[in-house]
Amino acid sequence: MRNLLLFLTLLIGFSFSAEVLKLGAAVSFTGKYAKEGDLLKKGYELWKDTVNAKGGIKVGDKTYKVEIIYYDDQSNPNRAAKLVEKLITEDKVKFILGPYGSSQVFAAAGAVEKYDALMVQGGGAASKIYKQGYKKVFGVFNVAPDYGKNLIELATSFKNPAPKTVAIIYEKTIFAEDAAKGALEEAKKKGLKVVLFESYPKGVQDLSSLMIKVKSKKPDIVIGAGHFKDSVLVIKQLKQFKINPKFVGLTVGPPIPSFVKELGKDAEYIFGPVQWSRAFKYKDPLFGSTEGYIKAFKEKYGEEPEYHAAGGTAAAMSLQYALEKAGSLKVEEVRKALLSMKLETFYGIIGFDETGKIVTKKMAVIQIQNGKPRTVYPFQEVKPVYPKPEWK
Amino acid sequence: MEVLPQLIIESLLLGGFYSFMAIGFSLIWGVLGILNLAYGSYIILGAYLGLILFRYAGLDPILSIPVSLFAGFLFGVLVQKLIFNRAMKLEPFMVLIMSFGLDVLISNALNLVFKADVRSITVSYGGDSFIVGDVIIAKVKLLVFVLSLLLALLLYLFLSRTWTGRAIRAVALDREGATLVGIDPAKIFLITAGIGTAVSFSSGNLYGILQGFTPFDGGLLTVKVFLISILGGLGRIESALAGGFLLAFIEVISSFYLGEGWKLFVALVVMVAVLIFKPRGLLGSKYYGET
Repeated sequence: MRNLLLFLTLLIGFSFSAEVLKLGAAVSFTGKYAKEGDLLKKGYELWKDTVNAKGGIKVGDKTYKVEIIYYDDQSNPNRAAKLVEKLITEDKVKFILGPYGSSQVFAAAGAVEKYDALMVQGGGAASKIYKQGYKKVFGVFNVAPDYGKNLIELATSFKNPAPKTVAIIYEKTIFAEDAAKGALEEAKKKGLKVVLFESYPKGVQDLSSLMIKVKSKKPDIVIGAGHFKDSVLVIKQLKQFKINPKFVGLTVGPPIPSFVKELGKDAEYIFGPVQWSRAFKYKDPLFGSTEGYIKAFKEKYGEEPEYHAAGGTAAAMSLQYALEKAGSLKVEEVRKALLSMKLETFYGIIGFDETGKIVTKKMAVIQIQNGKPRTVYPFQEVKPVYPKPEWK
Repeated sequence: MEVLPQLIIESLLLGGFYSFMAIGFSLIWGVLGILNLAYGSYIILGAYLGLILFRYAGLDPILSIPVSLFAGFLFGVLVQKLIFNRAMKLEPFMVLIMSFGLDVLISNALNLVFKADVRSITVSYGGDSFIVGDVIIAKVKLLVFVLSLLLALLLYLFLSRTWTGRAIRAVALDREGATLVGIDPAKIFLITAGIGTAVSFSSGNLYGILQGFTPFDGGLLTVKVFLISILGGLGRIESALAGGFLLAFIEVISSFYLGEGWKLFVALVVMVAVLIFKPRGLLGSKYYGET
């Protein structure tokens, strides 16, 4: 029996006459990130099948079929790190596809760096992943400052009348502060006058004093950087104090369905950034275009992709093209190829800075219109409404 | 825009609510000698009760206030009878620990049932505001202010005009003396605990329309009613009013000029100063007894 199996394997191996490149991923299939982990895997699998159907990855003069070894990290960062260690040392995998969730990615990154492997991930957006001086960890998710930056970019693209002043209020937490600073920098770069840049403590339930301050400054743009709960509070109190800026953007909240549920009509015309949108219209070397990607995803899984799966596919694709460009399986060569990459994909333009974070990709910005988040930037699914009508 | 009038209005509106919220705490402390650390959680309990009545019975918070007053009274009497009466026979410290335990129990029970999501009682007239000259007055804040003062006035009349009210003050002033003239302190304790808790429940109902709440907000509210009682003194309804308006003023001004994160700090600094220079608070006298 054993011999037969061996024989069969050999036979299959010979008949395809292509070698196999093993990649590894520790993803959450159980625990609190089970759903996201499953979506991420779908993204990886779609990529794998598409690449293999086209013959495989061409590295130098050899073509490799792709195989991905999955382990379940149980939504536990420690376990993710151990499993990545196992992938590298026992399964001899040199290229790791990232786990889901910033904490898991952060833990896995340590192991990758230690054992001299290379990871591309589409599962973690925390800035701290890129602040450790790691050399072999790359990520395709926009990090916190981009949340603020893209909102300002959109706001300053509006013309009649062009906004001149901005007030930025943020929750005193790491993510929100990073996002607010991203907005602040971009606002200065665009020549906006920053009339207010102020924080409030986490868990605050009343922002009356801050709102009086905002009102007295009469800003054209209000940017709120926080989390879901305070985002809702900001909108409620802007209305209560009859503050009517031309543009209201929140870094977190608007894309989440409960935002509209909580605020009803007051959610209308609020802007918010998202990692990826199906309304993107990019060309893609593997799927043809964003549309092609969505179609392929639907055919395989019978559902529409969202950003978790798209991030996974994009991460795997960047690794693929880096391998092909490097023409080598040496980690150092592939790293160089990633650093010099500028690749248009269904997901956006992929390119990394020295720390491994994506810097060339724009986030999409959505606006709530008729109770639905609709993409208005950088591609317009619908026309954005600006200036924002007064509260009713 | 001139901000000072707006700040003063905000302080007044908030102060009215703070005053009413603290009356129950100061009453229980003054008459029973219990520093009830679960008081903040009582308020939150009242807020959830208001939420249930609003969501499932469709009762507007104004209409559900009598319900929460009644429920609070029953709850207060029960807790007093079953828990605090026993503890009061032991060391005073035991009562403090007991109330702390009660606080942990209530907040965690609420968390089990309602989860930690922020809830709020969103009334249809909630988002609207009046504009008077340069000043904006949110309708909900005005409503809560008026109701708070109205209830405080009723309580004041009750304490000064009725036999039971006078008996409460008599017990606060001198337990033995009160017993001599035919007042049963045990009964008065029950009634006072009931009234104090009724105030906490109904102020919770108002709190819920004023802002969002979670099961674990009770601790901060306990700190606030404590601050108000210390600032104003434990004497009378008027002292709760003085403390409430003072705390609101401190909070609004410091969060405007120094930042949102500073208000509790400034309030605590002022409290320490009051304790050093005027240990009985601004209007402190001998509990609810003296007039």
